[in-house]
Amino acid sequence: MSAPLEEKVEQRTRPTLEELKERKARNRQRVSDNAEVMTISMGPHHPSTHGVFRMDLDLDGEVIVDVRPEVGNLHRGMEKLAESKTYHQIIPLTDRLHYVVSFSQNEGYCEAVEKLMGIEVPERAKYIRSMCHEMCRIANHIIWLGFLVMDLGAITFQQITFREREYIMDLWEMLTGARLTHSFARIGGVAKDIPDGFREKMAAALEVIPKRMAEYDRLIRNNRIFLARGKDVGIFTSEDCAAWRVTGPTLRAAGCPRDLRKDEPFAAYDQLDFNVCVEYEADVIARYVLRMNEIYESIKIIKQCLDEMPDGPVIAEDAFHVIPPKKDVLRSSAAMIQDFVQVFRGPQVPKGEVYKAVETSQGELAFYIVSDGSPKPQRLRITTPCFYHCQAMQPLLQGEMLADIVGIFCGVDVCLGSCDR
Amino acid sequence: MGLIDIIKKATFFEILQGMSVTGKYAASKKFTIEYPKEKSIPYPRFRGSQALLADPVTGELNCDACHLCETICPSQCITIESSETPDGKKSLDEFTIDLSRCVFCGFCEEVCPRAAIVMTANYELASYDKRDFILTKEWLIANAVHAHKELKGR
Amino acid sequence: MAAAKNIDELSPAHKQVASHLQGKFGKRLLETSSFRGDLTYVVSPQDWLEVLTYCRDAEELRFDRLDSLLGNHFPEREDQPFEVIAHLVSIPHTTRIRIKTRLAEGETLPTVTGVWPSASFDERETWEMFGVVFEGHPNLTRLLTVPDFDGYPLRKDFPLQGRVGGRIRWNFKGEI
Ligand code: SF4
Ligand code: SF4
Repeated sequence: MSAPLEEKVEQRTRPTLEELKERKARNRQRVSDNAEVMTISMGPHHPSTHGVFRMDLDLDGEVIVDVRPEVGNLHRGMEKLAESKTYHQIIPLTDRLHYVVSFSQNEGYCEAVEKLMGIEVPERAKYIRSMCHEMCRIANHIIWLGFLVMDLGAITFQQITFREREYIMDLWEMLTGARLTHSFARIGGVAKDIPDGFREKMAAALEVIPKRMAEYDRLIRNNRIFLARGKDVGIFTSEDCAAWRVTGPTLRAAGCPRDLRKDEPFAAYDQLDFNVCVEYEADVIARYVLRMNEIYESIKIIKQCLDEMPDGPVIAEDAFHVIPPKKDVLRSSAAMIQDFVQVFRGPQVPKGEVYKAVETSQGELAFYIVSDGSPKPQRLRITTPCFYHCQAMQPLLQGEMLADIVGIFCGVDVCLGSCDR
Repeated sequence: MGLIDIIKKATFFEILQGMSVTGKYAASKKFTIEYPKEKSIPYPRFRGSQALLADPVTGELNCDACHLCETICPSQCITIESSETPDGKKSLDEFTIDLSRCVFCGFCEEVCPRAAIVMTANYELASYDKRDFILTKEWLIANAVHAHKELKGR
Repeated sequence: MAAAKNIDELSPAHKQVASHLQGKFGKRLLETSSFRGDLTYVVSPQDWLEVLTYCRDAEELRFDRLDSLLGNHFPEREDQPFEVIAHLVSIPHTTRIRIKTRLAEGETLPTVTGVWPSASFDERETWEMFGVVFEGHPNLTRLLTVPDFDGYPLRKDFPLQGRVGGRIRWNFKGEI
């Protein structure tokens, strides 16, 4: 797999942290001391806020002096709701956190529960999970690009990126049975094995996507408007990222090679060969280049997963924590008893608390579960990357121009469903 | 700035580049389907509205009112009422699914020990009346015509 | 199947963190435990800010990021029903640690927004959900619920049914 973006990446400069800070300070200088401040409210129904997000902007002319992000319009009380459901029943809830990358959320939750219960996941399930994670990443990054370019003014671009996502959506439908809310991961594995004909369809999709990506790249990369609106806009250094808990592509675009897939491997990532993409310019263009490179890495990972996937069961054989697969339930009485026990009583959970973070396409998603030994969690806290990305709008936007808000906001990739929980 | 750049600027090269893509796709085959006329055919795992399956030979319902699906349902949208027949078997009196609460997670299908409730390929569920979303036992039995063929003999 | 490895065992890096913290704070760490490879320390509310600041600044620890800060409620613990839990991450050392403190009803905690600005939303959420007041927080207002919501929804005694908390509002004049 040749990555057409790679040689162009080499030409990009690698500014040091000091240089980045200086550039950021130059942007900040636009804020003069005796500014005449006007406060306007942006959102919650502004189309570029990708959901319902409101910002109170203090403006001096066109320069943003201060920002007060307001979230919570999509708050559904998920954490409270989870306390009255058994561990199995929470899986469909986690779908609704971020409806573009449902599987990653399912998987993160299941990883946390498996850590709590001490379940060993079968190898094949691990590979399927890694593959699905990367499918999420491709789908998310592709429509992210569509929205970014749409926010910067090219509306039809969003429609052509949706066409490419359709390949992934079809695969989701084939694999899991749903297009958006997959509910595919299970405690101890995944729900189903990959179906017949899936490999061929996947191979065809992986053929098409890089071609289309090259086409996007030809369209945007040298576009004057895109470059002018992205270069040196929304600079966020790696130090800022750590202070404001900004993770994922934004952090990697600031030159920090932090990726939980490498640093704290989950699923099958410790057995897969891939690179962590890093960019150094920390602006909107860097985030764009980084995400596009990540798609090429994802394609590589999916191919590896499909080639190296071992045979075997897709869900752990564990009588105390796992709902047995359907075909066993229909055939063996032991599995049927296990099924009844799991449904009526719930899994047997040790007392304790765990914290598990996984890398989704937005950033680091973490689940904190406290168990008091009952089949329902005592407390479930979902630490989503978007929550902190919304908060980081304040340092990100200070000193930027009003028209750049949409680009910056989209650049860090925020989903409000995931932010408000 | 080189000569090429000047020419690019003067001729709005980026716009021409964009328009060339538009032109290319204007001539190519269309990607979408025109929904009410053509229907998309779901894959065999698609999770549409539920159906209750009956035994093809005797015509009796597979369901023996074990309440598993009712218990696992994360949004508590299944209501089952059962009674005991004189010969000790359970019989199903009521089986309602509140479709406006259902999240189509497929858990009911997954836990059912008799393969009695299945998710079907029926995705055309829109209605003008909220009362239509309460699926009764009769509706669910009739919906079995939409059940995925691949799964019936499981 | 490979020989069952001890899933509760700490990694070498975490062992170093544990011994370093023990050496530094000793008795002031009220409780130490590890479960599934996660290190947990309980400190008193008075030490909260000092321990967290030390964790960030010490060269051996370098916990440069606050991964999350949250509250919890244990109604069965009579005297100290509330817990505030901070999860720290060290990017250079790739280690994680959990630091807790226990609070009585009405007890306050110093804010850590000065140490990590990202704690701002977290502390607002903890305050609105559990009623734990963070002293010195620049803007301790409701975040996820409506501004005039009544009660603390994530407390275990918050009713699950009925018209509790907020009322339905019609008059938004002068609010936006
Ligand atoms: S699909 Fe899920 S939500 Fe719907 S009835 Fe079945 S278990 Fe309940
Ligand atoms: S789980 Fe199956 S057999 Fe049991 S009540 Fe539900 S549909 Fe009937």
